[in-house]
Amino acid sequence: MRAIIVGAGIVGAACGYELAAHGVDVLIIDQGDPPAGASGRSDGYLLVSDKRLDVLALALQALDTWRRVAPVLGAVEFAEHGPLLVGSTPEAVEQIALRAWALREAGATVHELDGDGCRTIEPALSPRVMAGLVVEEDASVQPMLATAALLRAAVARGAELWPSTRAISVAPHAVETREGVLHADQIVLAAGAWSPGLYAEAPLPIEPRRGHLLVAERRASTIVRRGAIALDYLTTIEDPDPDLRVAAVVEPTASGTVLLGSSRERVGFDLVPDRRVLREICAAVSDLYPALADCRILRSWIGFRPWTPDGLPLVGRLAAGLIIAAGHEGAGICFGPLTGMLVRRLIVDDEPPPLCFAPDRFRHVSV
Amino acid sequence: MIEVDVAVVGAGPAGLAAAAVAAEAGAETVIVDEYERLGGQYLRPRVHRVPAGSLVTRARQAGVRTMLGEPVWHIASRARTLETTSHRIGFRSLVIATGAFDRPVAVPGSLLPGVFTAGGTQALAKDGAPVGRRVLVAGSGPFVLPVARELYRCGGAVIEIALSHLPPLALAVLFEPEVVLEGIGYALALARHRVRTSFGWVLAAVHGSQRVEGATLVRLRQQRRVPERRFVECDAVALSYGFLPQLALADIAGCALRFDRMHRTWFIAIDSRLETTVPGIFAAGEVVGIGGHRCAAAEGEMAGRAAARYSGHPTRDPLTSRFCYWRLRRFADAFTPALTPPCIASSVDDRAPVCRCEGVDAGTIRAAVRDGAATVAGVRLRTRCGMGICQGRMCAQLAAELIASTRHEGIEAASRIVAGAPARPVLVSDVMR
Repeated sequence: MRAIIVGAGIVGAACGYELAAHGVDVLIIDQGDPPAGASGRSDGYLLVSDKRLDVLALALQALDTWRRVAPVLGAVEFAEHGPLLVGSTPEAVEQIALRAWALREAGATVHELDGDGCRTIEPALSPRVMAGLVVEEDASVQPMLATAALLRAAVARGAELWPSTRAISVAPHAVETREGVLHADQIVLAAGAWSPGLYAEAPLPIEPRRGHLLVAERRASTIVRRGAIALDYLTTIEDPDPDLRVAAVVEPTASGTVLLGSSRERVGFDLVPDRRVLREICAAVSDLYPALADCRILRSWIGFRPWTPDGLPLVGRLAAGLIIAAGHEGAGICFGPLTGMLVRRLIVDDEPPPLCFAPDRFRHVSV
Repeated sequence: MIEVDVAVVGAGPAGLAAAAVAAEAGAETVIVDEYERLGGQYLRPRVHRVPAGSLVTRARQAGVRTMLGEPVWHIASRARTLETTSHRIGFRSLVIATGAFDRPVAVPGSLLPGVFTAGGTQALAKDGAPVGRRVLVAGSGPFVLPVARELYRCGGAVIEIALSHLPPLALAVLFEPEVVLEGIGYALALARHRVRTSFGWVLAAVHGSQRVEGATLVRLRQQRRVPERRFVECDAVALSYGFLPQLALADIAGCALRFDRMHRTWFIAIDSRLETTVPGIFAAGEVVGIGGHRCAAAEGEMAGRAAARYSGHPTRDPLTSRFCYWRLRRFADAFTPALTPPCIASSVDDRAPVCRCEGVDAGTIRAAVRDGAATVAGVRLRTRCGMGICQGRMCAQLAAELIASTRHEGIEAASRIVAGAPARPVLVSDVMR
């Protein structure tokens, strides 16, 4: 069996790795120099704690898959701890309690903390933080290294990788590129936010959702130890509004720098950095960690998350010989290895992915 | 917020000339620079002296407002504002004249105390501090001459000037006698000190335990299997292998760049009116092409007038100014490629430190290329090369040359990275403003 995977982000890399490991003859193509697309521009949190309540079980499964795959990948800065999810208002305290209950129901190990409890773990948190929770299953990884390592592992298992190969369109059993048409038994469309542009047959419910990410100098690692996420981050993910939404996400990295996010807006593939977004992110993160105000920003960049109307990816058959695995929004790194496994089961064992990922679930909804 | 007609970023010869003519044309003009004094690197004054040079005087007399010691970290071309670490400036038109910096060199030992860029050597010498008493000045262009002379002025001494090749002097005499006269002046001053000068040698390694004790030079373009090497005992090394333009602000403003095959790097793309691809944003000086201070000043004048016109202050370019600019830019385009350093990436030792901020050596970059990386961005994501405090200013070109030589490809595709804001590190609290 031969499969062509279009897109060498984390999802394409994971599909390539899983398929190659199960004897499929795999070719991965990408328009750029992988790790490509949003995977080269993402933070590295692998979280159960921030997922929609109805997919918590799948998120736990995604983390399980990560724990199985990470040792194979070598040095990808996989760390067995995630951030604190914190709130600073009485309503937030209530929501955190509710979320803690739901997470426990789903099978996660949750520690609930009051404000002082949060500051014991993370002393630099603002005195305004009133409650928080930590999920033991949460983890983090360096997404670029992880994507590169997955690609390397795929190649080591017999896959082929063609960078700088731009797909023009995909169809069942065929990918049209600038150099000519490539044929295979299965085509896997894993081009993230760029996927709709490659599939002309029907409009795919995926749109680019732009995010700015900032990196602070190493001095910030004396302030940020564990990392934290503001509770309103969860609402910015689920909010379907195309206008700008900003919520604090602070992630320490193994190298000592600290990543500062996050922003969400649907403005197409616009690469011009927005001053207002930088301002709001800086305001949000120093709200959470006041001492960050005295740290220097080294750089900011822009990435395009593949947004879908319900926030869940499309994983499944578009037609016989054409599979989609895209639309993970900001959860591609987290769900990447699991998606690879789902695609492999679909192709090798003919086992369908979960219904909530079904590509045709928006059939009767106009988007 | 400060509102002006014309904003100029960079107070070297190009920026000063642009600001002066724009102000003379009646435009309210501000000039911004990250250094505390006007003049940039070329017009940097010697210790205890006020900034010299007719350009500084001219800009002052024309009423140019100055903002010094404030790095510009962001340009919003849609909102027509730029931001320094302490001010926001609204402009109608803008001149980017951010200049160039010494092309970095990576050889084993190049991080030893005592290894300096030529620009750093000169800046220190002007402040009265010689980098050494037995300095090896190695490079590929005439900039080694003023650097060597400046060293003698402040009490240092040069053991040898090692040039990679003989500059095309005939071409210079023909087009630009002024430049040759300037060079002869330097050469005569150095002749008194009997400085040894050699041609056809490039730096291969720097040696020393605590600091520089010597350096190895290697013969260039030799067909022998084992190239000829020689050891030079010295206490400091000054390196002048050409210049690279400062492009971060142009990137942030959204200006298109052009690839220059002779210099093997990118410059800001401009049209015949010195306008970039972003309307109302102009560029002049080394950021549009290496050409030296005369060319930069002439170009600055043209850009300054164009910016004044764009901001609603009609002014005409005198014929002499147009001719002067045309002649100097032509000369620079013909002459400077000959000064470009030889590409020796394929022979760079694996232990040579490429990214200083993150400690990435040439061998690690070659390994990333073998892992599939084809661009500076791909290498950066795998190795952290270019992720440090300088954001690739020191290493991106070196990494690109290593990638190109390892993949046996041209450097154009490998080298392009798009800088993101901030162009200089900036405090979170300043971004919040």
